[in-house]
Amino acid sequence: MNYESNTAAAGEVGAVSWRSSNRLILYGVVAILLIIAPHVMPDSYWLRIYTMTGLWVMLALGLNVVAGFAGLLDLAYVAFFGVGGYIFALLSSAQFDIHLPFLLVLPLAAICTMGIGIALGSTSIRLKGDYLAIVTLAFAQIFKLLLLNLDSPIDITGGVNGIFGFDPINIFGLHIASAHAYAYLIWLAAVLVAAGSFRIKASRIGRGWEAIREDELAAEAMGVNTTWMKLMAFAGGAFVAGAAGCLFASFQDSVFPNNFDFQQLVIVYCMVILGGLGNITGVIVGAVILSILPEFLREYGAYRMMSYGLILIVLMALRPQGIMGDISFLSRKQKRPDKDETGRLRASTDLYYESRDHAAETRQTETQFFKTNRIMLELKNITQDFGGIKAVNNLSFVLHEKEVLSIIGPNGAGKTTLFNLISGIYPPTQGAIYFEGAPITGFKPHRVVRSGIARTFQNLRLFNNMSVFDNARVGRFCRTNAGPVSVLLNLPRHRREEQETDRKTREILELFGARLTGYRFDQQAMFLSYANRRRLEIARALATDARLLLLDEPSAGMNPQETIEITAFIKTLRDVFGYTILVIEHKLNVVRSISDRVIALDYGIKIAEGSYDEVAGNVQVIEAYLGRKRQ
Amino acid sequence: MNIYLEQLPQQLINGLTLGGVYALIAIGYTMVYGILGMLNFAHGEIYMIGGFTGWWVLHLLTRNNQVIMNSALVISLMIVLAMAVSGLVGILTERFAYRPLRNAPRINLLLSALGVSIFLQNLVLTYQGAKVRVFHIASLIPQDLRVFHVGSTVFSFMRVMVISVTFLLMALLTVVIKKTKVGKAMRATAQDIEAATFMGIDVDRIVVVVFLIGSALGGAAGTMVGLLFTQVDYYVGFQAGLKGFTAAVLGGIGSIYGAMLGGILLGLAESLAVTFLPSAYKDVVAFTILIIILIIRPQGLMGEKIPEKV
Amino acid sequence: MTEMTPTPILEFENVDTYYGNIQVLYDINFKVYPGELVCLLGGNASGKSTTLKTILGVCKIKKGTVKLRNERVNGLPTKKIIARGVAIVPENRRIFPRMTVLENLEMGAYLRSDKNQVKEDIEKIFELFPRLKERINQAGVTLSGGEQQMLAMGRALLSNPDILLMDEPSMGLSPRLVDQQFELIEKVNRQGTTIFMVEQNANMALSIAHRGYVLQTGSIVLTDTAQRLLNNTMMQEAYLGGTEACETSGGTKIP
Repeated sequence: MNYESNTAAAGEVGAVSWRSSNRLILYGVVAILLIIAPHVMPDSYWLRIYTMTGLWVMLALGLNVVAGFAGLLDLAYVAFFGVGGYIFALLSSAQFDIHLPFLLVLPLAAICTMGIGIALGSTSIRLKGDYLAIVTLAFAQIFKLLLLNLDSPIDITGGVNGIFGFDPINIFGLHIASAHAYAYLIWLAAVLVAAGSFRIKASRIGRGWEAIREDELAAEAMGVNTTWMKLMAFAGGAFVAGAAGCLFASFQDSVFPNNFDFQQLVIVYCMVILGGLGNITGVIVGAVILSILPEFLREYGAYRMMSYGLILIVLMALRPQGIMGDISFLSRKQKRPDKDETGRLRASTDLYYESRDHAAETRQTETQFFKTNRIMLELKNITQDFGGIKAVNNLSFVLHEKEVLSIIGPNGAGKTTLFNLISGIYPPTQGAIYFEGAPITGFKPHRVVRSGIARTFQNLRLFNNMSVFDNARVGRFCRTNAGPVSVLLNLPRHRREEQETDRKTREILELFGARLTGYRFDQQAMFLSYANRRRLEIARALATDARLLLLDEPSAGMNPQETIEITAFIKTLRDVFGYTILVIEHKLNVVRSISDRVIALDYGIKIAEGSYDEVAGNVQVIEAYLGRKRQ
Repeated sequence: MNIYLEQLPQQLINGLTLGGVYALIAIGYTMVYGILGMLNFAHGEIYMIGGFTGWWVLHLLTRNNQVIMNSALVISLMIVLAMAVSGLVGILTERFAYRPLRNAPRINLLLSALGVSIFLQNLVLTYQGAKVRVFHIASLIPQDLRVFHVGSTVFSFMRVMVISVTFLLMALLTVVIKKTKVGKAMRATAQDIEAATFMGIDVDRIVVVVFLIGSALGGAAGTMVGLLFTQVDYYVGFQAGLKGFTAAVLGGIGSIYGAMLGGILLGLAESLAVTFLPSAYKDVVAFTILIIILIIRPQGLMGEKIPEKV
Repeated sequence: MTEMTPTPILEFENVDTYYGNIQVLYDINFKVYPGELVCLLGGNASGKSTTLKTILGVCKIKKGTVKLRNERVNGLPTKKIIARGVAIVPENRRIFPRMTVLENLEMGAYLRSDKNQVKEDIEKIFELFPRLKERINQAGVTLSGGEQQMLAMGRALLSNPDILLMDEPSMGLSPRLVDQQFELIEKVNRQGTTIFMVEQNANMALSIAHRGYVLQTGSIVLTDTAQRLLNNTMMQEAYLGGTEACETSGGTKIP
């Protein structure tokens, strides 16, 4: 049995086989097609369609960053396209007699548009989805009204008549004037945007966005700075739109308010949705189809926009993942049953992990870590007031390093609220929280994670459409810091960081043996069994390099066998790996078996603290659970 | 300064008319949002369809530039049929575009609504063409009744009619919401959908009623604006929808009284803005108000801030 | 067995319920007879709420039968089950916050068409809870916790239910209000309403109930008359620690 090759197969994820020679061949074919295409167009009309297709591809890919990757409904997108176009028009024409070179105007237009995007985004990004849509739509309307009306008292935009007659483009002495030259220039831009999209999607940034789209709160709680990331998507989309606007203006040699209308917005959205939100290849195909198809349906022209509306409605109802289908959709059909307790499905790679399992089991018996006396987490007089109801009331306690502390109490005692307070989801109404001596009160969740605290959720908040591997990799987000530039240029620093991310993530998943590795590596989280999803949530928390774990009912919904396993695993986390653990647990025998210490809450107040036996035998605790005897 | 003061009563009347119409549109947004928590992008098109229905009724009842019936009857028919057609379209959109997505992610629902909006707009474009349809109201109102003056303020018959009908409809809606069984069930559903089910309320049916009422009011607004400004085209729904939404947000989305208040405030704000700015900028004023409200006080004037529970 | 047993109003026969893929209820059997006050007890996450959701058709049954007056109601939508004479006081009461007390009560009678009788019944509710009458035109959200509880019960009673379900009536109430609450429940039951109550507060619930069932991790582990359960030492065991299934995972066995 060749374990080496199995490891490699298990380690490489998803479309990795593509990355090799096949991929190079594909690149070659695409390049040759793009070079030949302008010369085989039957006439100048079709050459124009071809060039416009490139522009649509570019626009659709830009929108795909905002709406597809990050899931933001940005309805100002076409306005950004217009901003780019008009910036070019004003800086490269006789309008104000400013004639800047194209190589300066293009980046200037893209960056200015991005600046406007950031200005709009930073004020509105915290709004919920549909409010964001409306703010951006209102912005788009204001923009168009300004275009139409800023021809008096001073003529800036040319009003309805627009601006036309621009300086010819000259790139390092290369004159872009012929239709063919424009075809190459615009498709080159489209290819660059596509390449950038692929890189970004596969990077930590792409995973961060995907996590936000899947579950924003969980993403934040796993260390993703959601506000910042959403703003980045917004800015990225605006940047591409601005550049596209600039190219479009030059290509058309004119700009009119009608070029940047609601209709164009709908067309771009249709392209992105037809291809599948977030699916880069799909979006390209969608853009190409919707650019070319109408030409064949010329005589039904009146129905064109109507059919766009229908496309949106029908796709949303029947196939929200777009025509290309997502990997998610295909694998749902041929879903592999996730049997791990009985009749386990075997991938060849399982064998490898089983051999490592034994090693892990022998290791589990040696206890290396015990509770110390150093204080790791300290809560001082924490109160959380929900409009008069004190879910947590003047609570103070300390947690020592490498201690397992359990929180128990009846329903509604404030246990989960306590976790939400520590992990930063609510800022406490009163009181202070210290982690390793430093205050973390009022930190946003992603900062709490960065300082070394990670949590799981009572009702499981995994990124369901992401693979097991990617779920855990999101946990690494807060330990990496490649920005968009180093991702787009694929700088060595970024490559090293990604390798490190993959290695660490794999190490952590291997702690769970065949439960999360083998073929499950790239299985989507939603296809895991319930118990495995609980395990994956813990893995994701471990991936953040947390020193303190907050586990919210880790054994909830597990059967007795699984409960035994998870109990042992929690013990291992402390005994073997030295994690400090704060756990909410209802199954009191689990509590008994793992805890160094137990705190009982009732009505948000600490009613007992001590060893399990002390707390479980406490009259007040029994009363909290069973209720008072009636007088 | 004096000139502004002189114009003030006139602008107030104009603002009140416009505001009433915005309020009617806003009610549709707010009712749907209250129950489904969704933004019905297509509501503006429902309004536009109401406008076209009104135009069509008037067109059918006009021979040789003369209405063939009593004017009051014609106007009533226009409004009633516009409400019926818009209500029906509203119900159909709910049934086919929104109900299948009841449990889907929000963005899908929004995109579907966007699709409905485009579809309806272009459906009308396909069958009506892009040209502006003119309401020939000349024969509806006798020359000497068309306008009357109080001081320097001009009252037109149409404005008075629109204001009265608007307030009548809002009063009717208030009665329905407050006093009838279905109205109470609507409020209950909006306040706690699960508890409403526990009362035996058929939530699906309530949603249909909400779309019916909201869309019918939108349709009435469409026809009345047509009567007021004597024209309609396939594109009017877009602007009007955005205005109605602005009004709904201004008042606090989800609150019906908020929508009424928001509509009237928005109408007044626009009319007053026109006193100081070129009229082209009145829409800019409206949308700027929208952006500022959303950013500063997203719950609106009368909405309640609901703490998000994790 | 010797005497004629009446038809149970509510009956579970070998019911298994799942939440998605997770089995929550295992082979549940119980009966509630007319006029009884029966409580279903259990600690956190023992499956109490799921049992109620199963009755209401919110959670789907995989196996077994739920019967109302001997008629199978598996798979019926919630509104049909409500129409068959089930009323519920939900957890946290869930009154309509921006409707008045009177309107809230009227919603309880939503499915009834006997208008005049409803009016009389509302008066009866006001006799039962005089506090509500004082607040008749106040919005629900302005009521105190205890008053909200009265309103939720009044609302449920107005549908003239055959059986009243109560989901954790003591939840979120201060100890003083808990006492009041249980007195109310007892009073309503003694006036003839059949009640099936899900509750964590065992001592309080058993002090007013006729019979009780104890759930633990989805199975019924104990059942007896309320009086005998109150004195049963296994109760504490069932709440705070394991039966066999869990015992194996406890203590020393884990490496």
